Amino acid sequence: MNDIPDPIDTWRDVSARAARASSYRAEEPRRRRSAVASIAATTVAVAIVVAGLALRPAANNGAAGPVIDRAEDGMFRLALVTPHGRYGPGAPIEPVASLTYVGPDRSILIGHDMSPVQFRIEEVGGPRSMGGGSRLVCASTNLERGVALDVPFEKAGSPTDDPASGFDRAWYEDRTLSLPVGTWRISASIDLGVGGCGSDDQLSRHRLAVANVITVSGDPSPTVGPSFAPSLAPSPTLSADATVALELVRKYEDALTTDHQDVAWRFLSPWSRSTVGSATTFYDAERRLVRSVFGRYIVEAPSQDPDLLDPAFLGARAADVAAVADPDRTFVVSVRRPEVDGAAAATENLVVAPIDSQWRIWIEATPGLFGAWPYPGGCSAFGLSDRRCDAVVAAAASQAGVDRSKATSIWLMSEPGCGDDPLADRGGGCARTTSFVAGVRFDVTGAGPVRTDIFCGVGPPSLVCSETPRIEAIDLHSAGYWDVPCSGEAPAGCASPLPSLGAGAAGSGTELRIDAIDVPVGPVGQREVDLGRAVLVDGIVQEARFSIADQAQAGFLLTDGTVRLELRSTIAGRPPFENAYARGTYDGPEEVRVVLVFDVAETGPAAVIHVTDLLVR
Amino acid sequence: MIAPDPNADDAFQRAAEELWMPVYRFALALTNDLGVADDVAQEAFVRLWRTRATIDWREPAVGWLLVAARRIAFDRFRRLARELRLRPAPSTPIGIDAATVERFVDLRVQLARLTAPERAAILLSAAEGWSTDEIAVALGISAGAVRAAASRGRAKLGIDAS
Repeated sequence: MNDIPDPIDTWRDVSARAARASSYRAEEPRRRRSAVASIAATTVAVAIVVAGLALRPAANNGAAGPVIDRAEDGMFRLALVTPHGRYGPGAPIEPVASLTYVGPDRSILIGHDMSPVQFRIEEVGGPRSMGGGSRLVCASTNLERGVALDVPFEKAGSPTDDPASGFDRAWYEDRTLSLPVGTWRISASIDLGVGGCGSDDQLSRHRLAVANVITVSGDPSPTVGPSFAPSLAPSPTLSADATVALELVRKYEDALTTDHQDVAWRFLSPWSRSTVGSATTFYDAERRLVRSVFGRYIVEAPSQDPDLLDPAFLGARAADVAAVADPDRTFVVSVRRPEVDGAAAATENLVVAPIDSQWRIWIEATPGLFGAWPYPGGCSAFGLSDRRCDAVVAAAASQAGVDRSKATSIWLMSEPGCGDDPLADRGGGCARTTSFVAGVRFDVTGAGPVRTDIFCGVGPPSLVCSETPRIEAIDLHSAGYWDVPCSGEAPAGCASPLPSLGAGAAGSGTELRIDAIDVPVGPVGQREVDLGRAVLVDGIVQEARFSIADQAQAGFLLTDGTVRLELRSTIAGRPPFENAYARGTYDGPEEVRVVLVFDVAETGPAAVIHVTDLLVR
Repeated sequence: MIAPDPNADDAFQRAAEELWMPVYRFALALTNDLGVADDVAQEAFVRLWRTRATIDWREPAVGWLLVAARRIAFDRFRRLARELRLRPAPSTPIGIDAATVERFVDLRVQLARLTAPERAAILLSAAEGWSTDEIAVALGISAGAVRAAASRGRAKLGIDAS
């Protein structure tokens, strides 16, 4: 311990203490839902209003930066932050209110409407508005002192078909807030009872309100998106290079959003293209991303923040950026993708810089990040040996009906995900009855990409499904020879039992019994090994079984991992031994050859299958 | 074939009890701020809660949480909004004793000379015992970049690499 430097030693102790002193507190999602209960309006009527703070003057809306307003009454602090003061048409406006308990206790239980914060929107100098509705429910939330509860903006109010007075149903149903051209006041307010919902301690109420005024103009703003304008008016605070970087990213995102991935692909740096691997891989991944966030994004101002340009932060692309880009003209442009159902919020940091006077984008890419690894180089990313990987690709080609030799490239693909869209990223895996091995995509000239997924479930432990494939012995029992055919409910709907042989009749047959024998695997290809002959009575097999002593495929490989026991009648014209009921009986003795059948994919000089306990009668 | 996990709530609860410490410390290494680290870790768990029904709980949740925490911590918009909101009255970390906070205030100045990846690389390897590969996965960078960041971090702190 003495050789550990002091800052690290201190950090270890301090961080552990801090972690132990805190904990995950957000049972609120559960608590809020369960605590919702109706209360009578009269309960609210007896409340005493402690502090009715008037609506405060609107915060500055002239700048492109965030607009913020706060109010406090000694017990609670309410703040409202809108990311920008000016928006372009159709741009998502994402106000967030935060409520903080600042009173003397460690925590406080509050009772409130469906949400602790209510939002309103009013047109400044106009008649249009949203808000004012109440659901007459009561919920409770526990606030810890000093810990802000963030409440994103939510729409609530009455739709109207008159666009001059308000907003229609479609607007209310769209979870994204965007507003028509004009000046708007966005307000957040609280009306809280202390003591929780329905508590007798609701002796006081706290009311606070804050507001941001924003402008939606007809001209697209360079600080907010999305905009589909071909070029943008530069912000006076941006340098010429930063403006070019911003515009390139805007065009790049516009191309992705409008399903022009080929245009976006051309904006990428050579390193990005080669790291992604192929345009098809890029198209697939970007379509998935755009679809998952419904094309919503916000492009932030270009930055030359050293933290963001730190090689460790830039990751794999850092070396290439350093090699080909002028550091004075290199920017990081963050693209924020807002949170939507099924996809968490994320920020993608794009590096933008000129290469030989052509501005290009370095995306956050590492081999495989886009869900595709080139074959065979990417086999290790799936934990597959070269041998098994080749078997997987061969199985995929067979499954998809693709001639591997015709593919211009082969890609190993990641877990396809769940739901209707196989490319949808749900942030986790799926509950399946089979395990995913790999997806394989064959890029075939003229036919486009063909993808097929390889899953493994119960069944032969072949090389496709295991690095150590084993042999499965399939005899007449497991092949269903004695399965009773049924056309209806059992037992009435099923075939009658087979007639049992009398002792005398059974004695007229000749069994084949082999306690142990090593069967040479032999050359590659389909193999049939004759083990001997048996004589059945009346054409009925009483028993046909065998075992394999060492089930590991050591020094050889069977294509599907199976060794089958088959009986071949020596009497011409007799049907195969597939099912006793279907085959029927034949009076008298019937000689059969006992054969082992398997398909050899790889072999060696000493390769043998250790067969034991074989009995046919 | 595809079904939501009926035990997701229990699995989430276990994760919240068992994984708070590594997620919080990872967030602290990235943010160098006790309150913000708490904020980041909380949100990572909130996101896990929201997606608990579709998570494959057979896989360790810690990797999912660390990646979520990293994304949250590196979300520049979020940082900006938080700073603007809290600058007049920074939130006091709840439940942490004053002595610990004081020690961290001193330490924080030293660690502020490092970038977030450098802090994570050096602190999580030396203090937490994480492997380079584990840190690389959590940070979303290569193992080589982690080693380089740790080397720069040690140099800035004046620590012998041995």
